[in-house]
Amino acid sequence: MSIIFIQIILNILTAIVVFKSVPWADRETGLLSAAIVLLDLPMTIYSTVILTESLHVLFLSFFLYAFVKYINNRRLGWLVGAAVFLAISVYIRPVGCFLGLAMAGFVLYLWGIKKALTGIGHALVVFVLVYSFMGIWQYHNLKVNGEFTFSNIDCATIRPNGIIGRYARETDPYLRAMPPVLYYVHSVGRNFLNLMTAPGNMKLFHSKGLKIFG
Amino acid sequence: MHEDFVGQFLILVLLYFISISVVSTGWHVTPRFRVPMTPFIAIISARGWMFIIQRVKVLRSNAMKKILCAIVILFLCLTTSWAAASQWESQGNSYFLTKNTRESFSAAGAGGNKFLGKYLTYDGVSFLVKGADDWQDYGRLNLGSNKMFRVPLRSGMKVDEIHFLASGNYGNSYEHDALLHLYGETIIMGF
Repeated sequence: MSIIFIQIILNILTAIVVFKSVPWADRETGLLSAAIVLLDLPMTIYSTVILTESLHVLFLSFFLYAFVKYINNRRLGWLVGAAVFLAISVYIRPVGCFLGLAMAGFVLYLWGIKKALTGIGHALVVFVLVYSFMGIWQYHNLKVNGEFTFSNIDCATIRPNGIIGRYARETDPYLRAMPPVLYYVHSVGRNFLNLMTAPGNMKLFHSKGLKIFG
Repeated sequence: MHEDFVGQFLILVLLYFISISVVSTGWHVTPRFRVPMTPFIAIISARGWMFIIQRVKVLRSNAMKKILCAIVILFLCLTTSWAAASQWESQGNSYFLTKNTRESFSAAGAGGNKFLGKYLTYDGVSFLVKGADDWQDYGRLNLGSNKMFRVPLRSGMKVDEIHFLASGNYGNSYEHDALLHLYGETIIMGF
């Protein structure tokens, strides 16, 4: 129960950080953003279960705050902060492991062609910082397990369930009958809808009233 | 200009998480994977809502307000209707199915496209429970009529495995969709 209480506190902190991150100078947008974070069903549901989600999303919101500050004032300090928070969030959950690469690309885009040299320098800072931090754990994995990989989650999800080579692995006769392009459009579309529209399971609230509401 | 870049940054991160979730987990994607995106979605969403509110204030049209209210109510109804509430209630040492229609029990396809009750029909489901000693046959759930179903697991019983033996006419176009969902007090299982 105490862990769940801490997770709820972390969610409230996340909402405060999001409120502070809103770049537009109107208070209403910030308050509404924070309210959406607090009332979001998956956020609420999974803060009542002992998982790493709450901590992960808090560090991602720190990353968001620092990066928005960097966009506004272009100071390297905020970029370093954003990179560090991103690297910490990757240690909590490895889903953001390629986000450092995307951010380096975005920094290049941010500075444009006119200030390309500055852009390259700042992009290198993001890239080196994020992947140096990740490299420490990757080196540990190489030494201890003999595998040069940050996480072995790919064995659990990406290889058996991932989209790469999924058509070849497909055994469902209905889906196998589809041509590959249609198959990927169909299956990716369903996965996307499931990800973005399903509100989560009300059962995890452990409340009869909410069960009935659901 | 800065605001444009912030908006593009938010969308980039959002697209990153969507892509990586769908590409890496496929059919196993769940709303839990949406949690990391929430701060980014929240700001984009709030910005959108504030834009709409400002437009409505400018228009000052009652008809427009009514249309927007109707859209919001419809959206909320659709969202809440998607929530997967438990179909099983624990009462003492037993679990009861709270909805007494056959469809609500058998329609258990995973994902957004469920085709409720259209391709799953069971005559019945037998279940075997393996405890500390041996297998025990708990009999057959009669799904033929609108009855409450009881799964009598004793309090404190150590359960290693539960096997469900389904019979009847069932066909599932999607092997990734669960044929049967079991909802317990702390577990949700798809078969």
